[in-house]
Amino acid sequence: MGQASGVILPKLDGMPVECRISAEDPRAIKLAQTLTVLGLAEPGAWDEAKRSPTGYAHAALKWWLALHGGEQIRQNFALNATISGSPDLYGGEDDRRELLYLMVDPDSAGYMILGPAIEMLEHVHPRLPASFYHLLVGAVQRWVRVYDYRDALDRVEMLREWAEGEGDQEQYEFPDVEGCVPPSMKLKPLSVKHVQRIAGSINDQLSYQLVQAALDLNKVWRRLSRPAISEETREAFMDSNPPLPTLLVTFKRHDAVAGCFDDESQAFLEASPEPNLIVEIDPADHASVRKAFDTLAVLCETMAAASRVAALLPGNDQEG
Amino acid sequence: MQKATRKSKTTREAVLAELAQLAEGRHPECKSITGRFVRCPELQHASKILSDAIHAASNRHPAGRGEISPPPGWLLPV
Repeated sequence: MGQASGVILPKLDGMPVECRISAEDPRAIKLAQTLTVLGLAEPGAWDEAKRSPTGYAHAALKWWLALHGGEQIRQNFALNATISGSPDLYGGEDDRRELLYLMVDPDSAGYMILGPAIEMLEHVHPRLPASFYHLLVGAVQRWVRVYDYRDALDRVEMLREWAEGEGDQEQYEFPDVEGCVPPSMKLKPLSVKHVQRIAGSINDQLSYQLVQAALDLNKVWRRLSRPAISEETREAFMDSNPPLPTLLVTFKRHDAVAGCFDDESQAFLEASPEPNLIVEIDPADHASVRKAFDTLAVLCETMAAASRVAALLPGNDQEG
Repeated sequence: MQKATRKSKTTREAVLAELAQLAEGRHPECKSITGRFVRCPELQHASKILSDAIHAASNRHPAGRGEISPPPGWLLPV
């Protein structure tokens, strides 16, 4: 047997193995209280959140998202909802220490290819493709940023202006966005009532489902309007980039719109982007908390309805 | 099933009572030394001054001088 070196390790018996202190923001405590009173948080989640008001509010947010189509949204979109103490996640602390901010932003953009659906709907009514497009994109962009052919056209316009400044324009080649937009998209969209009338007479099942899903989406987003934000909060985004797109809409895979998106996306994070949605919350004010959660519910249900449209789109799930 | 049983034990009133204790600084967690420290900016500020002073003092003296020896038989600090 070897000789003992005489070195011993200090005994840790009886020492606490975990030291947990939650330095809770008073706003988080107030929010947790309001959520409990309003029934927007499950008391059962308190222990699971290790009795932390922040963790408890986070659990309430997760529960709320699950109640309002979280699972359906995840099939096509990568959205995050956050409650923060500052409107600018990349900036410093907020001076107005009494407010919290509910924000929604994407990790990456969802992708919808509408060309095959547009072709299909042209057979039902010549103006139905444009109507379907505007019902779908119009609803989604009420809540989050959508990148579509209009953004791509703006991009090309800007590139042309830059090239003009350079002198020899001939050396540049611009994406043909105009050429990739189906002609039926240039027709005037039908009124919602007219689309509803047409929907009843569609024989093709997929065309019917698509139009019906777009009409459902059109009902959902209208339930609430986006709450206005204060001038102080707006000022926090004065030097920010536009919000990150939550959805990219193209007509074909790898068309000119997708090309412009890829090109433009290189600069999306050159400056911190504005959030897609921001709602100010006074955590002690029940109406303010209720309004924020109701707003989030409508956004989620809109995105879940958009996700149902995406699941029906022919050719949308092909790889590559 | 186990999860559901655990959830039902905590009532809305119990959660609100505990949150009220936290809001008013009456929660047992707020009374421990660490609890008081994380809630008290003055304690944090005093600690920062002390920590900076120790750091400044250790920079002024050559290494090895004034070090406290570990108790006999203990491993030397790494």
